[in-house]
Amino acid sequence: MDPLVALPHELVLRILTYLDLPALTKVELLSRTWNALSKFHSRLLWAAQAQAMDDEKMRVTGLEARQVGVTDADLSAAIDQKACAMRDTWTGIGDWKEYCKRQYLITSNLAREHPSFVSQEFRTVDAWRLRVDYEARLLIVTSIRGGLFVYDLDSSPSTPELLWSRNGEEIGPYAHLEYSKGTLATNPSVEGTIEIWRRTELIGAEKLRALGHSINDPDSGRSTGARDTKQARISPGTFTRLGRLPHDNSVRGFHLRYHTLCVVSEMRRAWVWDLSTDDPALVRELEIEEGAQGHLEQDDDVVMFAMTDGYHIFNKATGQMLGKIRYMPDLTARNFSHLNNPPRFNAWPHQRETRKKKDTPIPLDDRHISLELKPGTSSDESHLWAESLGDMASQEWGAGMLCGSIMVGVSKEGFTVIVSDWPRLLKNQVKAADVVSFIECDPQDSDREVSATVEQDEAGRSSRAIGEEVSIQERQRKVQG
Amino acid sequence: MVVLETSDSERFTVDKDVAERSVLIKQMLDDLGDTDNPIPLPNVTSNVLKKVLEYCGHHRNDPAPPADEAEESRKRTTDISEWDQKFISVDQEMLFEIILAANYLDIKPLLDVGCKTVANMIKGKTPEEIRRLFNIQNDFTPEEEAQIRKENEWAEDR
Repeated sequence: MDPLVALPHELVLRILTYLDLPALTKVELLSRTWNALSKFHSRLLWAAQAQAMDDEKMRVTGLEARQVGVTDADLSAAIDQKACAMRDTWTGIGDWKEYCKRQYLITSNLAREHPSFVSQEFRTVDAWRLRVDYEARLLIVTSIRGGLFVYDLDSSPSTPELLWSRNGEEIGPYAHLEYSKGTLATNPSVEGTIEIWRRTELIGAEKLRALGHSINDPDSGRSTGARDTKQARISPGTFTRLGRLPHDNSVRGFHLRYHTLCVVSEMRRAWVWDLSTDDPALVRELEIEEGAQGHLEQDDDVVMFAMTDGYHIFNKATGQMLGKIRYMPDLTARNFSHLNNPPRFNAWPHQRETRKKKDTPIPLDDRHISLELKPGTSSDESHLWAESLGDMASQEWGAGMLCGSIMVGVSKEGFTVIVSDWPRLLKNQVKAADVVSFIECDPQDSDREVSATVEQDEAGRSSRAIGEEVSIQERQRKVQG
Repeated sequence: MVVLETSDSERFTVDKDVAERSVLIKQMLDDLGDTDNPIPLPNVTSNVLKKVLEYCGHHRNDPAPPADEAEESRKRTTDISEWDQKFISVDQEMLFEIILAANYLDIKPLLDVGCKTVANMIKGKTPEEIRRLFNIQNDFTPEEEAQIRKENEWAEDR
């Protein structure tokens, strides 16, 4: 019996909101009446579908779908969230159905055993640290030979356009680089300082004037001939130094997550700077324990330091230590797994292909490798590992990351620690055995160093990786997961 | 105990907590106070009410659904429990009758089980298979159909 005959339309709509995307497109094909119904309620149905695609737990049904964001403003907001990661994929979207289509195509590509993605090689200076501003379309690089370079991300990769640079006298070799929302932090050649630069376009007129910039000020009464206007306009991609933060040579590392910069020293000190205004201000000085490794990580509220005995987490606003990820007394073999090295790639494509078409993205359908996690450690002595590793001080822990309640850290010995709920672990509300996993990776005798940065977009749907020399690999035209 | 009377004048005597899985009946009982008079359910037939009461009996001890609509929808998934699946394995006509009754009696969890079941019947099928399943008449011209197919080509399984 045709549900449209048996049931009132509101109940049929309720059923349709439980369909997955392919089924929802099939409904349009059933008959004229079905087609008309789904077209008439297209906004509601596809907004509900989008919500379910982004988070199945949030699936809403039938009339409730009217309560979820179905306005044009909601659509724009949803697109904006995706677009910062993959601009080209998320332009020209007029309705929720098109939004679902883009998401579906990305998801089904990534779900394939061999997803297709492409690589583009950017010919930059010898890069040391690199960052990408996907909104302003900039590739920002410090060099092993010194200097700071800003390229146009949309220019020809083989001859990228250099928009702005500072030479090696101002920014020394191997300068660290932090970047977040138009603001960058680097250590220049002046010992013991950290410099804060901001995209000139983002700086207030008052500050610019104070820094001696001549800017195009409509109130200044200057001649507004075409030539003058052009000279005075701020060219995109340029940066202006907001200030030098005084620190001493004991600084081991710094991390910027707009709008706070955290700095860590080996002298049992750390500092939190507020960069929200054009005048950087010191918010707090933290007293930390001895043994800071230099790696640190922030989320909105906390800062986490890699220490010789594990990770220490502090509240940025109060300076209070929230706890340590250090000692896990109740672990068993169940908490351990290991990973054998995947086979190596033969070569990066640019090394094996003739380079006739320099700017054509190279398809990388064979770059996908599957990793297999095996239970226990590789040594068959998990119980011993559990005992010694339960005390994280037995290894040297380095870079760590926070993503919501998940914490990940890596050790020099080739272990990765994953804590699925660090806030509750610190409060002793969960047993370590229930939230902690260690993964042992074969220590690799690598013949080349890869300087890489991995970023994740806010929704956690896509991630991008940027590697040294190879520079940028982008999956789905923009992203490599 | 509560007495319910169906459209075909059959009477069912059930425990109050079973009957009150229906928000409609609960509200009627709240309004009427204690009564021995049968509660009329003119939109439900006896064979459907029997089925609905079977569901209410099995779920009589479930926690009451949260009043907050948003909170409820957040917990909702497309899964159906094993007992519910078995319970809802009925012919199409009865399935639609149960959905209508659940809607009328305001038994949200049962309404969801019914709607999910129909959705699951549609999922993974070609338009032809769905038409056959529900006896839907294809009244598109071949050109129209080809056009819509083309618009949705991207969603084909690949």
